[in-house]
Amino acid sequence: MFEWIKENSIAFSIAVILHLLFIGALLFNWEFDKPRQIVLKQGDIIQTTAVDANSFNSKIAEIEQQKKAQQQRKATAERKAREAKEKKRQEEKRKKAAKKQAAQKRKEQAARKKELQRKAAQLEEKKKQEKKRKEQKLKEEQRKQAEKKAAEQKRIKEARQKAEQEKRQAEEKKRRIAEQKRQAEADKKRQAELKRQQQREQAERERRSKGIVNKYVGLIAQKIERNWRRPPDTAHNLQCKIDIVLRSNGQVISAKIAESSGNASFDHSVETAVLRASPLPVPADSVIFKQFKEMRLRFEPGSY
Amino acid sequence: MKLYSIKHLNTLILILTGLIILSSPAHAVLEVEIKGGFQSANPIAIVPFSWSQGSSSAKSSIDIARIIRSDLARSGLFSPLKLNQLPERPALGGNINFERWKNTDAEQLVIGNITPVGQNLYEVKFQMLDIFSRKEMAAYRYTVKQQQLRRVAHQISDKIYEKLTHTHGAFDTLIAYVVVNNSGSGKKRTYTLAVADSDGFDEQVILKSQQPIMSPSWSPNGKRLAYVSFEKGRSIIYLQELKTGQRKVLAEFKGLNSAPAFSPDGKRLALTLSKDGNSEIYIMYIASGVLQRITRHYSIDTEPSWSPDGRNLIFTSDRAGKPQIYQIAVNQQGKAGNPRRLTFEGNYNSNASYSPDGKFITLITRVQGRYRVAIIELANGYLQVLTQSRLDESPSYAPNGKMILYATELRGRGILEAVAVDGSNSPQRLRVLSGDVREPAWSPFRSR
Repeated sequence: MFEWIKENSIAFSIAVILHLLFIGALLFNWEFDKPRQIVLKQGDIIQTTAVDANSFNSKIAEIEQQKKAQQQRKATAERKAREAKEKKRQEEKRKKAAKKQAAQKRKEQAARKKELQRKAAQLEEKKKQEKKRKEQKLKEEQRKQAEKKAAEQKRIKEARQKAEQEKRQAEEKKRRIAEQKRQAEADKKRQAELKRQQQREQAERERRSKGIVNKYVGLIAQKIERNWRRPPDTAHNLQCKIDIVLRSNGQVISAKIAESSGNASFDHSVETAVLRASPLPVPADSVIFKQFKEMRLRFEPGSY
Repeated sequence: MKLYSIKHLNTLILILTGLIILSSPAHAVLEVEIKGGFQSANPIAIVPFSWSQGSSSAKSSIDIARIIRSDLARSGLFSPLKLNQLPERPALGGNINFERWKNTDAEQLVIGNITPVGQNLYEVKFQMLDIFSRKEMAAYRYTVKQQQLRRVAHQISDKIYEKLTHTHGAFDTLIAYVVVNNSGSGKKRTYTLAVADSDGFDEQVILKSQQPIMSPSWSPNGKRLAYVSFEKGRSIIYLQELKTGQRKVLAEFKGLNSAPAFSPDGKRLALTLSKDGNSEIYIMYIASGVLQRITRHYSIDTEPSWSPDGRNLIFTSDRAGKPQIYQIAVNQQGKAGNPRRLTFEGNYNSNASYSPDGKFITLITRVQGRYRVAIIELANGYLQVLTQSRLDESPSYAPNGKMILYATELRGRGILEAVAVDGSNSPQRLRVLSGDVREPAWSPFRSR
C-alpha cells in the first residue's frame, strides 16, 4: 500500500486534497444553510413615534390651528385610533412576530439541534466512512497482497507450465522427426515393394508375351537378314547398330545408324536391308507391339 | 539403370500406378541381332541415257549406260541389272515409280540424259537415286566433245563407285600393253605398244615395231611411258611423251637394259642392267643419268618395283635357287640395305609390284605348274591366289588398289583380264583384241 502511494503520490495527494475539500465543503454548507433572520427591537418603533409628535407641536396658523387642532384632534383621534389600531396591530404584529420569533427560535433551535444531529451524524458518517475507507484500504491492501501473491503464484505456475510445454514440444518434435523418419522408411519400403511388385508383374507379362516377342524377333531378324546384301569387299568383323522406328503395320518409319561400323558402305547396306525388308512382321497385339515400335538392330556378318 | 531418384517418389508412384502397363522405353528397347546377310555385288540399275534431240552419229556409236554397266560389273562390287530387268526407263527429272523399282534387286537407280549443245559438243547429265530412301545420292553434268563421251562414261562410273564404296574409282584411267600380231603370210611379227581406256577401248598406238617391245612403265604423272624396245637389235630403254610422241633413250648400256620402273617421285628409274656381268638392279637419276647399283649377286636380280613411299624396292631373284621376291631398302644417298626375302611359299614367285597403299604386293606364283596372279599381305606374309588360269603374267594394281590387271592366255594367245583384289569376283576379261596381248601396266590416276 505504502509503495503504491509512493508510486502514485500525485494521485494520492489529489485524492487527499479532494477529500479535504469535500469535508470542508460539507462544513461550509452547513454554515450557508443557516437561515438569515432580521431581529427587530421594540425600542426603535417608539422612537419613531416620538419624532412624529415633535413635528406636530410646531408653530402653525390659528384658524387653521383650530381646524387644524380639530382636525388635528380628529386626526389625532383618528391617528390615535389608528395609532391604537396600529399599536394593536403592531402589538399583534409584535406578538405575532414574537410568536413567530419564538416559533422561529424553536424552529431554529430544532434546526440547530437537527443540524447538530446531522453534523454528529455526518461526523459519525465521516468516521464511518473513514473506518470504511480504512477497512477498504486494508481490504484493498489485503486484496492487492493476495493478488500479488496470486500473480506470483501464477507466474511461477506459468513458468513451470512453460517449461513443461517446452519440454513437451521438444519431445513432440523429437517424436515427429522420428515419425517422419519412420514414415520415409516405410515409404521407401513400400516403394521398393511396389517396384518389386511392378517387376513381378512385368516379369509375368514378359513371360506371357515372351513367346510372342521371341517369335516376332525371329521373324524380323530373318526378314532383314534375307534382305541384307553386304558389300563384297567389306571385312567380316564389322559390326553396326541401327535404331529403327516402326508403324503398327510394321512399316519402317526411320532407320538411323546408332553405332557405325566405321565402314560407310557396310553401314549403308544395313540401312538398305532394313528399308528393303520393310514392312517388318510385327505382332498384332498393340500392347506387345509397343516393344517393337522402337528397336535397335545389331548387324554383324557372323562367322563363316 | 537408375531412372528415378527418391526425390521424385510421388511422380514415380503416379507414373507406376497411372501408366502401369507402359514400360519405360529407355531401357525396354528391343535389341535384335542380325547375323549373316549375304555378300554380293551391289545390284544397281543403270537406265540407258536418253537423248534430248534427234539423232546424231554419237547416238549410235556411244552407249554411256552400257559403258557404266560394264565398268561397274568389272569391278566385282556391282552387278548392274540387265536391260530386261528394268521395270521402266524414267527420264531424268521425270516421274519414278519407286514401288516398281523396289520389286527389283536394284538398290540404286542411275538415270541420265545427253543433249547436243553445239558443234560436236554434248551435255551429259546424270543422277543417282537410292531406291529405298528415295534420296538423290549424286548428280553431275559434263559438257564434252563426242570423242570424250567414253571418258565421261568412265567418269560417271567413278562417281557412282565412289559414292557407293567410298573409294576412289579407277575407271577413268588408262592401261598400256603390248600386242603381238602375226600379220601376213610369213612369220613376220608386229609389236605394238598401245594405250587404252581401263576397259580396253579407245586404243591408241604409241609405238609399232618389228622387234619386240617390252615392259611399259608409267611415269607417276601418267604422261610418259618408259619401255624396252629391241628395235635396234638389242634392248634399249626409252622414255616417251604420250601426247607428243617425243621420246628419248634412257638406257642403252652394254648387255641387257630392261624392266624400267619409275620411282613414286618420278625422278628416278629402277631398272635391270647386265653391264657389270649379270642382271643387277640399279637406280638411275633420270635428269642426270647417274646410276646407283642396288644389288650385287651372281644370280639374276630383276623386275624391280618401288614401294609407294619410295624407300624400298622389291625384285625377283633366284639367289636362293628358284625365283623369289626380295625387298631391299634404298635411299637418296645411294646406299642400299640388305635384301630381305618376302616369299617362301612355292618355288616360283616373280613379277612383283606394290599395292598403292604399300600393304600388299601382287605377283605371279606357280601353283601346281600353273602361273597365277596372287597377292601377299606384307604384314603377315599370307599369300592369296586370285586367278584360276594357267599362264598369267605382269600383274599391276589399279591406282585405287582395288583391282589387278594382268595378261593371261586364252587358246594360245594373250588377253587382258582384271580381278578384284578381294577375290570377290571372277576375273573380268577386257575387250578382246585381235592380237596376242602382253605386259599390261595400269596407269596412275588421271588428272580430271
